[in-house]
Amino acid sequence: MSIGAYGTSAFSAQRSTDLFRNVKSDLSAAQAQLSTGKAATSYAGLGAGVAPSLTLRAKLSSLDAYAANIQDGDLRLSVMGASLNQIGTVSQGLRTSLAGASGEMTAAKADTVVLARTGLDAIVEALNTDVNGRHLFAGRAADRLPVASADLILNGDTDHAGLVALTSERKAADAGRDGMGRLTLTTTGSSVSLAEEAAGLPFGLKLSGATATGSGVTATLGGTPTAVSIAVGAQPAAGDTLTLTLALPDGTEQVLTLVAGAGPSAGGATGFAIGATTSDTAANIAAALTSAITGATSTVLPSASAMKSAADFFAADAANPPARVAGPPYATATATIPGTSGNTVIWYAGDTSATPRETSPVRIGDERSVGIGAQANEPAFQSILAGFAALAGETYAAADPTSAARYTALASRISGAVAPTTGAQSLSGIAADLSVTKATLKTASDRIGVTKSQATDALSEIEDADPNEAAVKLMAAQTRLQASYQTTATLQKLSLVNYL
Amino acid sequence: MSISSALQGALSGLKATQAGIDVVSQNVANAGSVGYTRRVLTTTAQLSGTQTTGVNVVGAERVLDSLVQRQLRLENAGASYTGVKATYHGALDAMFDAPGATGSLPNLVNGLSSAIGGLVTNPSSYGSQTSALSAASDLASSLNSLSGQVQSLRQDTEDALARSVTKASGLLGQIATLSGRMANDPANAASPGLQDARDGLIDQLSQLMDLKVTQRDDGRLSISTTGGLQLFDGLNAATLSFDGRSAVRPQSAWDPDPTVRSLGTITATDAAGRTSDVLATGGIRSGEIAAYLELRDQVLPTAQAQLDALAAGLASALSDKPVPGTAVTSGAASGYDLDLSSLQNGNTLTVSLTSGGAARTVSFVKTGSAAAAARATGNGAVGIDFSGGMASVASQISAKLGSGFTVSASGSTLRILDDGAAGTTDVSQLSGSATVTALASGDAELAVFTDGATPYTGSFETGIQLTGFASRISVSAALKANIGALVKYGPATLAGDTARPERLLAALTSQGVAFSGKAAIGGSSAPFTGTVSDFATRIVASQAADAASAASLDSGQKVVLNTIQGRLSDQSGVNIDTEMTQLIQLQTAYGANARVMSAAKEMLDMLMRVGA
Repeated sequence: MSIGAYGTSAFSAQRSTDLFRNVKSDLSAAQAQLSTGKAATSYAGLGAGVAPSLTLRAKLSSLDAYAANIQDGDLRLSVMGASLNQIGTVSQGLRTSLAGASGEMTAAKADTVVLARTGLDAIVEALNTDVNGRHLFAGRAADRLPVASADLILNGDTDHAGLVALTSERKAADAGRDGMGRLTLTTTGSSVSLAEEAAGLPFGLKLSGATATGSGVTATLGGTPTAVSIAVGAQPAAGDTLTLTLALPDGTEQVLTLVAGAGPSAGGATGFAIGATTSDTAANIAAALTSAITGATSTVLPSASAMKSAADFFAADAANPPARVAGPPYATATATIPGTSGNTVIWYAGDTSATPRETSPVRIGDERSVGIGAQANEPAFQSILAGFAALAGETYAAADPTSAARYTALASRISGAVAPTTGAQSLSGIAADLSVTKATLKTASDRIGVTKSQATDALSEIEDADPNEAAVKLMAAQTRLQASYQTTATLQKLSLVNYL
Repeated sequence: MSISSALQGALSGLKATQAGIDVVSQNVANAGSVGYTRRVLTTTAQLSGTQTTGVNVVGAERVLDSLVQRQLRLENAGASYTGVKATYHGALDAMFDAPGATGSLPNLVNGLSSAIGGLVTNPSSYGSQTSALSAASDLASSLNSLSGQVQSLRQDTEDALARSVTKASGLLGQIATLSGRMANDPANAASPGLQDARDGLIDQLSQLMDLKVTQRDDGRLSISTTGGLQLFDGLNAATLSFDGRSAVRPQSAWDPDPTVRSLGTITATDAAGRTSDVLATGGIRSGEIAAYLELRDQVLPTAQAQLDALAAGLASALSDKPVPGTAVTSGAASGYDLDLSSLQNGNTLTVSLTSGGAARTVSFVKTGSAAAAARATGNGAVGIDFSGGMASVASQISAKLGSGFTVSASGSTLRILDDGAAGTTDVSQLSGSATVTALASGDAELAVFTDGATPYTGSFETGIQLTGFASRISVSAALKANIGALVKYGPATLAGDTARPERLLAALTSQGVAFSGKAAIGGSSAPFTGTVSDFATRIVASQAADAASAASLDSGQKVVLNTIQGRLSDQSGVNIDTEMTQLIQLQTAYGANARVMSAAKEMLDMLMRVGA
């Protein structure tokens, strides 16, 4: 500021001018406080409140950011919840239909296949859900459509084999050329030997157990390749049983029980006749085994193959393509080869993190974040997709006598797949994860609301002017100014000049 | 003793009262005049031999207390000083906008944190990416604009200095001329009018600088500043000149060396033609000129340094990758290996060590030439010249660490070992930091901000990159062209990968950054370490506190000045009532003298009649 040159005696006038100006500026400051509601228009005017004001503003800004994050996360969780609900509803519908169609006509079975096909569409759609361009079930690969279309999954295209093609290869490889499930049966005198075709063969039935009751027949499991040696040392008594346990490609087991008796069938189980000699009996046992195994390979085994093929297909991703049967010919194939992205449909294009929830953290506090990510390749989704796709790829012709048995075998497996056993990840497990997270977001949001209102209050204490105080200040300044004016005017009149 | 002497006495009385009325009339007329001090008429008894023959008019004299006058001049200088400082501090404070205004610096820093937070939540969203980038752009432009405002304030001070110095030099010339006139003629020397005029000039000068005015025995005045700069020796005045510069930049600085200096200086030339640099001698300590000098050379550069430190801290926090050392042992000696290949010029490596029981941490700055190393060393860092190869680097570091440490290099790896079995020294840590410049570097760090087209590394290669960085900081053009790089740190990064956004968020909200000590926050020996947001808050708070204290100092100074002015006014001002009273007295005296004269006339007439 510049202080002008002065007339010495004008100083007193200047003093009163300064005084008026100060009071005037007090007045306008109070007026500004009243009209804006703010205590000051610059940081300097806040005095000691500057640092707290800035810190509170930073706090409010981060709280707003957290609130926005939570809102965003909450929206995504809601959409994901709706997707999971849809998948759950479709799965439940399929299970009900499966159970209902078991004993029904083949038409009902075909309907169930259609239901599985449409269900697969619905699930793929649910897993491909996006919010603002972000695919919710793709983990960190948020910009990619995680799941291929149901049609592509099942049928592939010109260059890429779909699940149906893979399943048919697998079925051929599992059944073997002679329909014996890649097992070899040889009868020598009173001995019958049932052996796996080769050690470590990835296809077909596997021998996992053999027991015999009674004293006549013995069954021994062992050797390489694994074989069951059945020796008819003496004629078995009627009712003696021979039990073989076969492991199926999908990990389930099929128990074959042969009952010694006159008839070919006793009490539903496969029976064998006790022949005249032990060799005859052995021949009968071999015949019964052949019949039981071919029975299994035409009913249970295709279902198991389909499940295995579907499970392998859905366990794959771009880095680990599905294993395919080395062939053709497939029926005599002895090894698997990994498919390539050039010849096989890779159903999943999303992220392959081992911790899907962590792929999408939502920051809800200074050091707190919750994971709301999900991946369509999580085991629960894989299992459900495998169930639906396996069924959708099957056909149950009315003319086919194995239809009913195949359907039943597949139905029980699919029921298990869409509602997995304890220990495996389930759809409800994922839903529970997400709903717990949603609850956490809600709690965090409430907490942020409370903190925010506290911070706002504190900020208002610092930055806002108290209207009462400002009004009182205004009144006081007004009074002061009026009094000063009056006094000055009176004093100005008091000059000797006026009385001369 | 005669009637005629009574007539003479009355006549001198009439003259004296006329002169008195003249003084009263001047006082009343000049009651509002600038620089006018009240006069009083001094009269003495007129003596003739031992006889009093009448009244003698000595002359009009000023009523002036020289102590109060001296005080007034000092306070004048003080008030100008505080006034200028309060104005500029107020402008600095106002630069940061009103509390809570969306465009204010701390809010923009918070806005960037929020936008990066949004990017963590939604990395693949184009909206999140653009809003993060635009928040960064807003912050960069705000820093550019604040820096521009600081420099334009600085330019104002430079221009104001030029005006003030010209004015001061002009005033000194006028004082010299006036003094010359007064010295030539004793009548002039005693003239209250000329004295008032000269005092008025000195008073004006006192607003520009702090003056020490001494009246010598021969009546001449000698004027110097309290800092000892001789301005006027009673005969000749010094000439003051200022070589103002028109393009003040953050790099501009005053220097005693005229070849280095990029800001104007005040040159005093005395009557003999000798020149001296007033800034180098510190001759001016108060008044407008001192305030402008302090603002130009200290206050505003500090404000610029604060903005620069914020810009540098912001850029480095986002782009610098820690390079950890690996512990090694060699025989009994243990220490650390550090691969220096990723370090760029300006990046630092830090070694923590103990020798002689005292722990210390030494930071070295990588530079590409001996000149740059010297520049770094001259600016508070320890510069190491890398141009001579790693062996030279090792020997330079070894020289800085002192004995007890073995420094060696193999390839691009530096190894620092302690003295092993002797156990008197110990190397507890060796680490570095490297600026990541590529977008898809594979590192989570990202150079969001650059120095124009070049990355910011704090280099010393061509000048100090830190200086004025706030005016040049911008969002990386490469990043603007490839906005997805806010998330994608490598070719195979998934769109929803949060690694890079999380790193950037941590850099802004939780990572402690050490800010340059020149910013005068936390002091130069213990520079402020905290988050970028904390630092922005500190800058605003410190400027606000400075503005508040400057304003309160100024209002205090005004009160003091008012008080002194009041005292001067009470003593030297014209009071109409006093003058009117004086007038009545003079009227009465005039009447009385006239009465004496008429009585003497009657008495003479009576004598005449007796004679007739």
